[in-house]
Amino acid sequence: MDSEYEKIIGENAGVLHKLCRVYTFNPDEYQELLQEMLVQLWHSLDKFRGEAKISTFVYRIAINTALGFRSKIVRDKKRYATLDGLLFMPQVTDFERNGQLQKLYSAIRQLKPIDRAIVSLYLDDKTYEEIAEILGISKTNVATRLMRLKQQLTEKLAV
Amino acid sequence: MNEQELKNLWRTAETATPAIDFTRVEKLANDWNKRLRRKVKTDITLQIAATIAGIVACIFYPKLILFGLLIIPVCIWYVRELHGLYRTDAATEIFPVSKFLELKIKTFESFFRRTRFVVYVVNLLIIHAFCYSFGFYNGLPNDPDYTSILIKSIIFITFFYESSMLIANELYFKFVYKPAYHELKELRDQLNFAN
Repeated sequence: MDSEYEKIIGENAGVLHKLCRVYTFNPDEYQELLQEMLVQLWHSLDKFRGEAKISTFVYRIAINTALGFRSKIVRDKKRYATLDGLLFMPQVTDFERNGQLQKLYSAIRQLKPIDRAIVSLYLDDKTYEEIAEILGISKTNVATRLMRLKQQLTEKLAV
Repeated sequence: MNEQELKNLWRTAETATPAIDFTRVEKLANDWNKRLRRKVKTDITLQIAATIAGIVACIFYPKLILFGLLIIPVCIWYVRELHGLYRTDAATEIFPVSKFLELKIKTFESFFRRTRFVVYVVNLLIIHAFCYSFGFYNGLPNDPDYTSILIKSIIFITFFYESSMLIANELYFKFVYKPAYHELKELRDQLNFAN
């Protein structure tokens, strides 16, 4: 496969996995969404013209794919013809070992789909401008929402 | 946990991410393209064959010409819809999320609009053209009741066709496409809230 694609995926694999965790509720959906993200990135790479940072490009595709995934699951149960092999061998990851991390993922999953994206971007240390650029909303909107979301997250994690 | 602790926890998540099998990803991407291309080719071939059959039938049975003139644009429209489905240069995922959602919603709305026009208007004309071609509207022109029978036939066929298509088509939209469409609208509303 294209070396540039592999390099981009290698650098952003953590981002893809984290977004898959917050947007899916079981291993099958996780695999399917990850698969979709990787294929979308592959199809879209030649459209990247360098107007934005590569991470912005990756985040946009990953988040858009995740949001589209929920609506596609509702419409069309048959996705790709086979899921007869995993894209990777499952291992015990930090997720399964670390109870706090599991709690954090669980808390984020309880948020609305758009809010999950905002929180994920924020936790990835994206600035308000970067979050606004990825989502296509105003910086003020991001700031207002984050203030509310931090409060919600704190409450959920305190339980 | 404070904000910094949360960010540190998040940063260390997925550090032991399993390696991705790129060969499989490439195969999946190519398989998806091949399957879609094959489906589109099959549908296009069938449509072209049906169109040619229609044209040949019109040559031998000229009364079918009106029917043919209506059905050929529908076939061309359908073929173009299939071609549009295959186009991967759309790549809407590269846009900001708000624009992506708007484009997806507009795609659905355009699809609903076009399908409704074809089903409720064009297909109705095709039905009447078909009936005319096969003499269902023939009567004795001098028959005083001819006009009345003709009008009643047209009204009856129109009413029967439109009511059954309305139910069938809207139910089809409701169960197949509307859930996804409403979900996208909800996501767009969530994004625009507080704007």
